[in-house]
Amino acid sequence: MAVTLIGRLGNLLHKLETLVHRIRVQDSLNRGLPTLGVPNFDLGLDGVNSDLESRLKQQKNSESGSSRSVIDSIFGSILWGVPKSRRTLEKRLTRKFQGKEFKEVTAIKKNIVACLECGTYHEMHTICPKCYGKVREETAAMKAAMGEDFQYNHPRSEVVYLYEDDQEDRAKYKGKYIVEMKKPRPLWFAKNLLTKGHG
Amino acid sequence: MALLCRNLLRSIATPLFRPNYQLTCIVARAFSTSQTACADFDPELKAKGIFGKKGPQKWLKYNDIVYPARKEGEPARPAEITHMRTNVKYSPDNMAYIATMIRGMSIDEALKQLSFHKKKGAHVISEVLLEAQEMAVRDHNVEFKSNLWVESSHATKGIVIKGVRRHAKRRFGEVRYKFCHYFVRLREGRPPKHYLPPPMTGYEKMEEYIREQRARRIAFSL
Repeated sequence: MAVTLIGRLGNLLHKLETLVHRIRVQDSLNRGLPTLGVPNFDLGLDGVNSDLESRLKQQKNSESGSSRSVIDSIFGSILWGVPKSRRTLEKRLTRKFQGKEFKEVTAIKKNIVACLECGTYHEMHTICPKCYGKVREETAAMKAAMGEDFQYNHPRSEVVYLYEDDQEDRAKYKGKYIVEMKKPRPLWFAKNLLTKGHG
Repeated sequence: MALLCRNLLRSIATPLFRPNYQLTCIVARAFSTSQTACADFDPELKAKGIFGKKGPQKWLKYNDIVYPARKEGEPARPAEITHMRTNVKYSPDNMAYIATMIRGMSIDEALKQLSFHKKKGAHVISEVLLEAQEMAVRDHNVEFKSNLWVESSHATKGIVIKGVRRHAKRRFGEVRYKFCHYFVRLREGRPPKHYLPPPMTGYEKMEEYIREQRARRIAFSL
């Protein structure tokens, strides 16, 4: 509201100034006097005194004064960066329901699958979190079973993990670093995973 | 003004407040440069709603409707269960996005999608759905808990706590800590094939075009 008021006052003052100067110019023309200091040259004297007009324009160009009113020069800069008109309902609804944010947040994921082993849902490009959780736990237990050797005295020979059900294989692992796991071997942990290839 | 507000809040909720209750930090932090507000709540207060105010209760009255008994031969009326959570510390606009996503889905599909959704509102909505599912089986004679679908789901504005923040050049701004209510209605049975009107096929569009063209009239003609 203050903005429009200031704008309107500015416009009014501008109009009054031009009017005053037109009167002055006309008066001085009538008297045959020179017309200096006339800021606005839209005199509306179409082709009547064209020679005089061109002289007045030259005078104007030489002067440095602005043709806008005082208020505009003070408040003009503050009115930049402001909405010119109210956003219509159509635009608001378009932004709300057809914008990028709406589409991202309401996007339905079509890449969710159920794990074949345990049935928990996971995204197609990921591992089943429950199954991997089990693997992570077992890995931690295996590390813990090795104790401080894992960090401070890691063996250079092959490391073998023997569970309670694997005791018959003890003979073939002679000379290797054996870690005793005091639990039965998990069903999903096949021995074949750890055999090395030859050749 | 700040002290008045704070004292008023304390006087309303003293019997319910615990010593390190974190909602007061919203008011406290409202006068600091930080713009974040605490999200954890006292579970007692959570159940009652913010500051003992429960929020709107009309939605739950739909659960108390008792329809007249069906006559022999008529198909069974599908059960409808309404549930809500009031004064959730989340923006209603953001909650509305997630609420629209699950409309028309079966409850299992909705829970699956919400479990993979990254927004905070998704967790809140999935909790509400699970509560409603439990209520349906326990109180509303629903036989199979998976045989439910989301008939309506929407979020509305809750209370707004206003705070202050500083800007440059001795200017101050208002910070709005927004809350929302979330409402859901579950219905027994399979979800419909099209919850919203499906997009028109080419033939349907053509028919509509012809209908519109034929409906044109010259005004004030003979």
